[in-house]
Amino acid sequence: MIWDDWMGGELSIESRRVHVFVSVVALVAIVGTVVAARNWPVQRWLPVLALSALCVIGDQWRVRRLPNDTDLSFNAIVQLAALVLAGPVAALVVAASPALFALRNRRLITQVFNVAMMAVVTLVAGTSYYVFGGAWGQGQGSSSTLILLHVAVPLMLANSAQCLANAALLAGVISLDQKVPYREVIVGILRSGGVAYVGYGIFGLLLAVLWDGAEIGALSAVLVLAPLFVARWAFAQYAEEHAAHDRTVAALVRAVEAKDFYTRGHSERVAKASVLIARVVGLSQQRTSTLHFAGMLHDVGKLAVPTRVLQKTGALSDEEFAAIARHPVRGLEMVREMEFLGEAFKGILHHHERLDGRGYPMGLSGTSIPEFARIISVADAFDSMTSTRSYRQARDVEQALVELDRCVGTQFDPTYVDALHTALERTAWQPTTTVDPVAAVVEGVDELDHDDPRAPIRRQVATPHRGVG
Amino acid sequence: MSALVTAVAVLGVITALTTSVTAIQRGQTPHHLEVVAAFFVAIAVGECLRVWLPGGRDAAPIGTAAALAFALLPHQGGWSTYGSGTVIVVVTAATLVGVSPHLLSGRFVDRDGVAHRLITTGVLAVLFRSVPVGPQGPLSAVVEAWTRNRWAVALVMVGLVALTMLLDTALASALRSARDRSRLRSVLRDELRSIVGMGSAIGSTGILIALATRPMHLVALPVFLAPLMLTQFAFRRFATVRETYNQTIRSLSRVTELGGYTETGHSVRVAELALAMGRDLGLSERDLRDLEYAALLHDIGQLSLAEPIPGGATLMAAPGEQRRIAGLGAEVVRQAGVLDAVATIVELQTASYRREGEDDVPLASRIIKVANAYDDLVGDTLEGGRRSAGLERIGLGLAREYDPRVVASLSRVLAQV
Repeated sequence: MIWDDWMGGELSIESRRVHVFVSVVALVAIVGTVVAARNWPVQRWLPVLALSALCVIGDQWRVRRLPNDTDLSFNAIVQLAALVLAGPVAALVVAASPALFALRNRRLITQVFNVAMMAVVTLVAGTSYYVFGGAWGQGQGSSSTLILLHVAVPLMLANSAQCLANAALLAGVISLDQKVPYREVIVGILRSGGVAYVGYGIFGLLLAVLWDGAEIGALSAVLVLAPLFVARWAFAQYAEEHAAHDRTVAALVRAVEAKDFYTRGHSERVAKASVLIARVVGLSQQRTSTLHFAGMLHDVGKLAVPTRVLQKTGALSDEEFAAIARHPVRGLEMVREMEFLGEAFKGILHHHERLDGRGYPMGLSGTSIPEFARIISVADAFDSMTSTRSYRQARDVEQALVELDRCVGTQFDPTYVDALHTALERTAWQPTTTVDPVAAVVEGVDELDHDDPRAPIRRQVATPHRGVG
Repeated sequence: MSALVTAVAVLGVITALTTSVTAIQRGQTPHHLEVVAAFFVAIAVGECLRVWLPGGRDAAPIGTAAALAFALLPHQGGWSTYGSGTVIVVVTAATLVGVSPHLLSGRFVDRDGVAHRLITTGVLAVLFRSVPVGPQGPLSAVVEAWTRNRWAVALVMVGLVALTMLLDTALASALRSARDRSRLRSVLRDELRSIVGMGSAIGSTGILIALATRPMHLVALPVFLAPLMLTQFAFRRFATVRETYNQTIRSLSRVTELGGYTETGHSVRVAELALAMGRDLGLSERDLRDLEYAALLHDIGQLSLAEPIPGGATLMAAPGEQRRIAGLGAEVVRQAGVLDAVATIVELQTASYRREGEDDVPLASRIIKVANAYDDLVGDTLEGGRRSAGLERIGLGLAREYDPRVVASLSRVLAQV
């Protein structure tokens, strides 16, 4: 199953509601198994043994952990095949077999939940197959109409039910454990893997039909395995490459930041805070991921600003300010060829615009400032205030939020400041601890980091640059 | 090479067309036209749903699988009694129909690829349906008798498909090596490696459809092609993220230029030159990718410099300083945690050939050293005099600073432009 294991790792022990939830699922699993075993005894054991072996091998070969939107375990498929070949209880046996061999080093409650969820999900599949008119046992392959009506259609419906049950249970435990709204979790789960789940269920049909109908027996399993492994391999490659890409961007951004000691880690934290805001306002997963990149890359243009100017603690001359004010435009120039950034371009270019129109580089105001830029500017100011600068120590989160509230309407969009409030109630923010203690906190400096909302507003000296799009 | 393959494909199709027409004139029309029609539609749709596989390969997995299944369909009860001529004609026509929207809208379609796939499908059809192997006739008739051992039929099909795929890979490699000016052996190795993945999925889907039509008839076609669609989707995502990765490295390699550390276009030019030399020297696809990334990022260490080197030309910096920059760059790349091979190449790009020897310095580093020196000397110019002066200056460092084999490759690559 795509979500057969609960990817969230370990349950937090404090939550009693999680314990209750897991116990209920386990109880349903036990009762369901007893009832099913009485009503639908297994008639042929050969496919059950062969498919169980397959499941165990497949589970052992699962070397890498993939992000849950890309993992494809073929246990669900083999279970569906077992359902057609020998009935629901056979599917249950096949589903349970890997658990006997793979006792991973996990806490008991996680294991209990995984096994119980798997049993319930398989029983849901078996029952819906039965309800929708599915037939099991030998001799299902006599004509294509019969196969369609009594195998294919019920199996696809059973597979969909299996997918929904799996997502529902998984979302239940995750939302209880991590205190995230249930709807949000289940939509996320279904969106990330639902299509693949139902799509690959066809393989279960293929396996069963070839086994009996084409009379090639266990060889069907081998033939079916090949495309399956290739699909998994491709998903694994995709996931690996995706992660590699993220890490490479982070490493290169860190290299760019190395120029200014005090802004180390700034981009990653801005990206993180932007994502927190995005989750609260309900941005789609795709846009959230793009926003993350926008946060990561929003300051790359600072590389084009002379280090001397960036690190200057005193008042800036007009030329120096103009040099700093060019960084969003220079940043955009640097990343322009990265087509996947899409909406992130606007976030990078406009992250220093202000709601009252006194920002730069274009002096946009209100809602004409792109959404990404409005989010990033809040996250940017927040991180700037909560981290140490050459002229001051970091402020704590409450102080920073008060400051943000003060600037709502003039500089920041209230929606995103509120969203940040909400997000920080849910997740604790780790204020940065810069490795080195601030050697000299310069006293009485009136000029501030330009990301700090308390910095005086400056009019841009240079003519505004052309924007994107 | 490409013209030859196209000519063979066209000749084959004409022959098949003539045989089919003669057969029809003699009154042997294929029974069950709905079978032919269904496969025609499946192949055409599949060819239309093309996908870019990683490594820049244009492919139509669904179309190819449907064509394989059409060629391998057993006679079973007389509803697929068509000959290999029909297979070739139908597959060709369907492919042309499927590809035409792409051709009309001007999108790139690998025409050589289409041609060699037609040839190999034709060979498969002829082997299975026309070449007599005993008194009962061709394989397609022989396997009909094996009603008790259906698994043996499957094995025969696996063998035939494997043979077809090998032939196809050989043709693809020959075409690719002629196009990219790279060595046939390394291309063949890369192509074989890539066929293990998608190729086996396509092949087994084709076989599965052919076998499953016995119980399921034509329902087998959409039902078993659908999973391949998802496999294709997975591959597309893989290819897309790889392309994205490439764009990112390409863009971020330019931060040193925009920050005023290096000359405009330097990294990209070094990468292009290094790639051409890498192909010339027979590097594998994987090594070429590492080489490209290392070449693009070879100056990233300059970000750690307080003051940019004048003009960014590392060749002008003191050897110790050069090595320090390379080390800093390698440190940056190593931070990513996933590009360790690239980091090593970046780190050793300054190693002098004679002192460090061939064994300790990767070929990619030696290539980048030469490409970087050449670009620092010559820059973005097409002027013949400056180019030959650059080559000459590198020639002076031959056998001491630079690997003679790599320098020879540079002259070959430059001569091709």
